[in-house]
Amino acid sequence: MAKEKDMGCMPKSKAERRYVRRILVTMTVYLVLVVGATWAVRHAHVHGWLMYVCAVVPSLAIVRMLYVVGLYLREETDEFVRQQMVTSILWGTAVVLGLSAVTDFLRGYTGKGDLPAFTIFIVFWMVFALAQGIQSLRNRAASDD
Amino acid sequence: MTNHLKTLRAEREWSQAYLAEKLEVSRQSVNAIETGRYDPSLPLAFKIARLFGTKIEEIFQDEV
Repeated sequence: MAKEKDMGCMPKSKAERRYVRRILVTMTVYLVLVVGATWAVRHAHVHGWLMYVCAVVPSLAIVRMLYVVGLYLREETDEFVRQQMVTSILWGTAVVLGLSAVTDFLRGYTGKGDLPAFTIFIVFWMVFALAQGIQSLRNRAASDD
Repeated sequence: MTNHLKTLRAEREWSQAYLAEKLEVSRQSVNAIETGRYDPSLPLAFKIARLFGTKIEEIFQDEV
């Protein structure tokens, strides 16, 4: 039988399709919440406890993203795919923990090293995506042997 | 760990995709096992052995 090509970027399992759908929904909700909260703080001049609500609400979508990743790991039945996901999470975690350690020491000793808001979270997802991409390329390279 | 999965599959003229379907895993998982980049869990190893009608140790060998 012929050797099929792996469509590397296509979601394969049901769990993976659910994961992609949930992430897309969560990111859309996040964008709506961020835009809404920003508008409320800047233009509707909210104050007091309502301002705290506006500040916290967008972060709930971020927390939901982490929950979605956890759900995927629980639902994915393909152990190799699951292991690759965990590897990518560990890469992201290692880089952000390393980065925060370096910047914490910098701040402690020099008073400098403050990262812009959300840097840690963005760096985590960038490294995660990079690790997923590298593993996907490795899989394809191995398939082409 | 080394394995004879590729040989066993070739003997039956099965594609990686067909074997993956039978094992309910992705094709990349079958490829990773065949090329020695991933050692399957015991449940998956048992499943593979059952599918080929043989014992685990006849498919997978410890390198030690």
